[in-house]
Amino acid sequence: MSLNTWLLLTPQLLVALGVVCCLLLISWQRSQQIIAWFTLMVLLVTIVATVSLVGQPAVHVTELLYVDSFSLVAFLWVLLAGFAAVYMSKAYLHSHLEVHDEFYLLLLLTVLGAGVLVASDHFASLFLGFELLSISLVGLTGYFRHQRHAIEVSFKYLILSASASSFMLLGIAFLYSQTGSLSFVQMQAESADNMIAQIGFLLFIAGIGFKLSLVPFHFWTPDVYQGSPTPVTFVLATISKSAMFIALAKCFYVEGFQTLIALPSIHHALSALAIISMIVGNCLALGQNNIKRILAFSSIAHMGYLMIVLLVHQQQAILLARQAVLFYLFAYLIANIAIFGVLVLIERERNVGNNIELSHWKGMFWYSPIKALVLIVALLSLIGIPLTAGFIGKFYLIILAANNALWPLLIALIVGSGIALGYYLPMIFQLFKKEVVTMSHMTTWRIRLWISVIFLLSIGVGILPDMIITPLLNF
Amino acid sequence: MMILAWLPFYPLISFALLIAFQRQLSWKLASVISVTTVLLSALSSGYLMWQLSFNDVTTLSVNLWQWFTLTSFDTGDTHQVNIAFYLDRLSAVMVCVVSGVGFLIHCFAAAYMKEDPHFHRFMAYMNLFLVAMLLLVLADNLVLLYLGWEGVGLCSFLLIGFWYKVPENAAAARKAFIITRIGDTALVIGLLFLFTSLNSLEINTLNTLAQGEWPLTEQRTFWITILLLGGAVGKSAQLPLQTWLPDAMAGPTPVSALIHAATMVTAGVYLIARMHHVFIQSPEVMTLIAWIGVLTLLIAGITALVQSDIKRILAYSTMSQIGYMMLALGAGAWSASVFHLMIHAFFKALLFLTAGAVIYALHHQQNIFKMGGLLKRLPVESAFFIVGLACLVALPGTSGFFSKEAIIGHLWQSPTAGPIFWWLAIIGALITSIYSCRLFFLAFMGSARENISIVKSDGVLIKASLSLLVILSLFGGWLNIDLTTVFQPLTTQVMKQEPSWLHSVAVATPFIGIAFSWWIFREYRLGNSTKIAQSYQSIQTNRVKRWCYSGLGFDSLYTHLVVTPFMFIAKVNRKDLIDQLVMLCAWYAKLLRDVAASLQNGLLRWYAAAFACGLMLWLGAWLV
Repeated sequence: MSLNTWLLLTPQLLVALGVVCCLLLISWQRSQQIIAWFTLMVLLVTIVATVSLVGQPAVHVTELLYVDSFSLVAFLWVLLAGFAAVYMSKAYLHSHLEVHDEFYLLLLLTVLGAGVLVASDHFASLFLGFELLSISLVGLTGYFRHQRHAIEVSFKYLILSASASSFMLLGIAFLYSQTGSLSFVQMQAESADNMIAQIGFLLFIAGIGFKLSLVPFHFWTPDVYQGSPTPVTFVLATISKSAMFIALAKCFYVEGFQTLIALPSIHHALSALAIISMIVGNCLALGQNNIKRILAFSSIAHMGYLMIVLLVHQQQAILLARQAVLFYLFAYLIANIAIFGVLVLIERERNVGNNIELSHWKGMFWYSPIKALVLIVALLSLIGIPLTAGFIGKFYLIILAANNALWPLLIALIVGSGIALGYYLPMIFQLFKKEVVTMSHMTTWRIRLWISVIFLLSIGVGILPDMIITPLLNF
Repeated sequence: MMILAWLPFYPLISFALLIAFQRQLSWKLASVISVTTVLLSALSSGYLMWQLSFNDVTTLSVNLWQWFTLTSFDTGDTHQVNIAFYLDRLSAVMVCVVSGVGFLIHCFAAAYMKEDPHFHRFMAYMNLFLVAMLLLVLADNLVLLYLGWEGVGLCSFLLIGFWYKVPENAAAARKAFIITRIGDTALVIGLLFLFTSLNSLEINTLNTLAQGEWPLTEQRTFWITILLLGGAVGKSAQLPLQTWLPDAMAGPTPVSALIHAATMVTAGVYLIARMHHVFIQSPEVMTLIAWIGVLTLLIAGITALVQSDIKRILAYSTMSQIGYMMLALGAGAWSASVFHLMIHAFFKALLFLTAGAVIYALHHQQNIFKMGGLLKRLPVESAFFIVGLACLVALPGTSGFFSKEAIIGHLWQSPTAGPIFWWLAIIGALITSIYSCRLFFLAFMGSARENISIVKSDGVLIKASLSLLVILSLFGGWLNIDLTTVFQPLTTQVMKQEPSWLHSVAVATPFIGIAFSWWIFREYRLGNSTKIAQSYQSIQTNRVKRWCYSGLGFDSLYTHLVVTPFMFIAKVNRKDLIDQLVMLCAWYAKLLRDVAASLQNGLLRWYAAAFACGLMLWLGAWLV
């Protein structure tokens, strides 16, 4: 292996090194501040390394991993999400007395798992990343064991995730039995006709679909979202889902799988999954009061929308589809950073623990307009209103669906977006309700900086997508 | 060039200032701002007119910036639409009339509306109107013309409903807006049709095309011209769409003078004159224009015979005078039409403004049956009014005589008109003189029927602007506007034998009318109060008179044909069918929510089972 191959793997290696150093650091000195800053530093260095690597020619690192700009940019999103998660956790963990160094360790492990996932080119590495991600997330969801529901949530996630991965393993085994290979690229087009291979493929999708919480594998989502600590919910919503989706996309865009997906029966099965996710996810979110539950259901719908990019066929469309995935995930990431960031702040101010209800947002525009504005922009972005990043993301999806004649999906997307207004808009209205609350709210310069960066990003990407983000997507 | 480029935008500055500062400006400052900006426009247009007349320049054009590009459907060619102005003799005359008369009316309005609490808003709208009107006139392409067209429509709406707190005014504004909108829609369809056929909307290009080899079929040309005519008919209150103009008199009097007499309502005439090369291609439509004009002038004249409101009489007379212009256009007498347009702007502005001064002096009394004896009580205003009426009935020597005789003189020989039009126009002139005399006898002669004191207005501005208009009305006929560079006479002229008595009859007609009314309206003239009260009563009781009074029943016809069915449909569909369907979606979404939410019960074993069941179902569906 040449030096260049290793060079492209630097981000993942850096994170792994960071994990080891973290362990050493813990054995040397336990301090809330030091570990947090150290984790931030690791992530920052990795971000810099990743950005500098984007644009390098793609390279196979052993048979297991394939690093190209697509996976690098995807990893960049994961790292940004990880950075935001650490930042949120700092604020969140501040209020507890223990020293939470394991929390940061688990967070780094999650990032590492995601890093393996986005680079994987082989079912073995995919499973490795999948499990690394899941196991560390189980630890994270149940981390505050004294909180109500923590153990319950953690158990639910553990057991359901384990059964999902067993289904996935079964699917992979089926595929292996028919193709004789675990590598994506060695998947043979002829084997597409094989019934066993097709069932294997669908079982594999079911396992990943659990992570993406596609209907009907979505049942865990609201409970786990609601019961986890807010930064962990954020990790679930962004890192876990983006990495999973990227891994799935890398698998789908390989030639061997393309013939498989092109089969009408498989195509219909996948379309059905996407359509049901869009409609049911959005419907479930209607009339909910708990904000994290709403976000859980809306994430189901968003993953459903995103499924559109997996169902395109032509080679040119795939190029556009890759950009669309990255753009959509970025827009989704920014909106989630904004919402969860503000949620963490509100939880701390109001001391309401994990259960943040819509009523806690009441009249926020009148006593803390900046936060409310950030929330409004984020929600508008999730709806897909023009001048936000979400609009452009959705626009990509619509173009793809129209160009590839995926009419049922397109209709479902539009109907789903219509239903989505039924819960996003009340959230915005809630911010404007007149209520006389005199809240003492602290805004340090750090919070202000954080909020304004998010605000500018979400507006900026919407207005000037060419300047900010497209350079990263031209590969 | 800069002068031309800036010409329409001076009043815009004043509009912006007045809207921005509202009442922070004193009356004096506000009126100075609004009047001077219009004066600037008027001076620039005068200068440009002088350049066109005495230098060897036939046209001026200036291209300000590119507005947008249009792409043709069929060929994919792009066509730039520019903000560009084009000035030739025709638009120069129009610009002079608009800004000149506009300036005088602004002067009048500044004094007339002084007491109004919303003076600033009023002047701002008036300024905006002038901007739009100048854009319309100067536009180099039809899209910009349409911008101005809609702009004047908007301002007309705002100004008719200026005293919007009175429900009738608001209704009148709405009516004017909606009815002109019908015409505007026809116009815009015509424009799109024109663009798809010829891939251009520039007036010069179109006219050049029309002068050379006209590429369109006869039928297409017919539809295009008839749609353009629809727009013109709506704006100029001609036959099928004429009903809005009398109601538009609900606006303040300067508005009636500026918009509904002198400038905006002549926009339709201007449009047809501007596009006359295209219209020539379709002789049927030319004849249609002539018919519309002649019918409108007769209907409006007959209606004016029984009206009691001084402003409504003037409104109907405006309609009938525009009918003359349309008739001239239809007959191919382009320059006569434009000449009459100009002269009409002078004397009708004079009549309206004088009427405004009279109404003001009589405590807002507009009913001529309640006036009487104004000749002694308001001698100056009466003299002005006499001059205006003399022009209206085209007494020899006044400017109206020149322009109207020019139109009537063309009719007999025109290939698209003919003797019958000539006779109808003569009848129209007769009716004009009769209703003018009736108005004059009732309002100005006899004795005062209501004993009310005269409000003395000491406005120097009012008197000054009126006197200037008097001079223009009397001597405007000597203004030599030479439009031969714009209009070529109809080439296919067949020289019919013209009887020698034509001109004598035409000249004598007004006198016959006056003599006739001298005799038939002698009770009015002498001020016989009981007779006058009786004839006032008879407008309501006499069926024929009532029918004439209501504008020959067009309003009720439209009410029965259009408004009532529309209201019926609106009433039936109050619970909006589409809305019900949309709400059905919401209902289903809620139902689905309830079903799906009942599955979210928080039990781990249930979730695991549901996962497995979901998978089985999915795979099962795939297998089947």
